[in-house]
Amino acid sequence: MRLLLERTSTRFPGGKGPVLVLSFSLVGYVGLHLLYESGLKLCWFRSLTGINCPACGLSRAFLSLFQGRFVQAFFYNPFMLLFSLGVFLQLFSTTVFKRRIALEASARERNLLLVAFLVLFLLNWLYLILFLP
Amino acid sequence: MDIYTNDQIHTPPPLEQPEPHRGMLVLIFGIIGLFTCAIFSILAWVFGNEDLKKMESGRMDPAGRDTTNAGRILGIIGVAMNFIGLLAGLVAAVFMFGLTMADINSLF
Repeated sequence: MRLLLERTSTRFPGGKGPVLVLSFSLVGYVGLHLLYESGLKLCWFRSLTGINCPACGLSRAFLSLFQGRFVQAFFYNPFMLLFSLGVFLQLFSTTVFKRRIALEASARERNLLLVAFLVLFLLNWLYLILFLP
Repeated sequence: MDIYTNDQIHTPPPLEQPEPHRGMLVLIFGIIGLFTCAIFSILAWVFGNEDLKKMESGRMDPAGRDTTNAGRILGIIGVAMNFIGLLAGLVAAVFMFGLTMADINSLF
């Protein structure tokens, strides 16, 4: 198993649609945050169930990150913050530089990574349910 | 008669193995994205598109075509739901902003 920096033949290997929607959504979310001064509560999962969803705290984490409070940002939602930063970095490098980090692994190694991802995801969710206000 | 050493004997390159599919990952991202955060839906959509192209060109194991496609479709549905929610939020915000402005104007 190893990580490679590979050159892509196109800027949008997964299609233009998802990148465009993501860009519009980010602009929309930032706009909504600016419009609602008292804070934005968009999480339908939390509204319905009363418990935090696996991505709750991510907006606060990014706001803290932009204000330079890195440690506080990390503790709002550790796993999802790092995961989102990785996704944005990958999308940015693919779209702008036509290069991306690729994983070369066998099917068994990929399955192990998937299990590790799910365990971390669930542990992070448990942390959010127990400790995130 | 020519004598060949082991190094000189030409052996054909091994056939390139197709990349293992990641249909389960795409499906899981699609399901998580549907219930929680839009970023997983976007990823399911991107990975799904990319992997289906690779399967069509023979660079990826086609055994996971159905799960990949299912995950991709769930991703698109999740993105659409989030997008509609976002639009509704923006419309509500503009509407409330208009009402507030109307209240302020009625004071003067």
